[in-house]
Amino acid sequence: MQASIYTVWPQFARLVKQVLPSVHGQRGKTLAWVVMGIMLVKSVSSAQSAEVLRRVQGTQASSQERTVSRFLANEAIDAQALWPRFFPARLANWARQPELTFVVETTFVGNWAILVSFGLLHHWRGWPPGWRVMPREQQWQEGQSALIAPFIQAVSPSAGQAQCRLLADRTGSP
Amino acid sequence: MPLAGRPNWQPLTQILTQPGQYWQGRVWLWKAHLRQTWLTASWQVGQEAPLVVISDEGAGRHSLCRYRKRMRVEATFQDKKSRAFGLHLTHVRQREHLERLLLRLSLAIWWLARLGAACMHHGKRRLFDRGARPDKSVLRLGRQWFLDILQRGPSAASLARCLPFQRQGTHWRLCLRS
Repeated sequence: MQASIYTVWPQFARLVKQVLPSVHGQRGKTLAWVVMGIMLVKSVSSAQSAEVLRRVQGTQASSQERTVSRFLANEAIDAQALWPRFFPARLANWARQPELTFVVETTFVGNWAILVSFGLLHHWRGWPPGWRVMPREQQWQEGQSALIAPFIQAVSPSAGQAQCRLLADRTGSP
Repeated sequence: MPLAGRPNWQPLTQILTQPGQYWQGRVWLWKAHLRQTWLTASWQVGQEAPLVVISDEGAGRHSLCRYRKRMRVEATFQDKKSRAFGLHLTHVRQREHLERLLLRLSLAIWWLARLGAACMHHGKRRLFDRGARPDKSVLRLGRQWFLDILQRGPSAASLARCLPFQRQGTHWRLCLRS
């Protein structure tokens, strides 16, 4: 299994680099590594990821945990700027559909944030084309429609001729 | 405010007053941000409150059916939170850090979705799920399939086919079936 992971990781890192050519090579490798960490442990927990990645790489868990922490703290990685670059790849199959249904969903993260997710409905699920993190205990400066607008703008070029429908609740801002 | 007749502003709570009632029609909504739209309100017996749906595609029961599709998204959120990835347990407390965590998580979800779909497409679901009453989500199937592939350790070319995106000409594509 270890050998397979070491085969898949550079392949995935190369793919990340090709989709995100502006991302520094090492950052692309780290992104690929920490994504695989989530897939292997089925959790976003840094400690759990670190434990599995430690076994794979033969290093200390604390070293792997620092890798994850440094990635999360790396200001050069602008998640909101990078994520839309994957839109064409992710939406290519759906662009041929006659109809696309998008959903806006809000959910709490701890007691400090609300995650506003913009999802594409497919096979009874909402797949995440995008998200925004909003404060839970402060009034939002933007309304829901203003939050959604950038998603729609980003998705539009990849949606082809499909008729798009948006479902949303009148909820969100505290 | 229903369009027919004299303007008659009324709160939505007065359109339906008890379970079993239904109303649909074209209305003006919100005095402050006046908007003409279609409204469907239904209060099913046994429900605590009515369901009110506004749409620019007309009113009617089809409007309620379309809205109910929204519930599908719950499954993915349950995966993100308690059922699988434990997002609700994260110790991250800074917005930018959470954004990067979500970048990782979203990539992982798309990749697992692609693997889960491939697993079903190749008829391998029964290897990881109950045959008579399958209940594993596509993400859980994707992860089991991923671990199985890594255990089997196929060739580099075979492993490359597991990647979330495949190149087709000059474009990348999330391929759900290869």
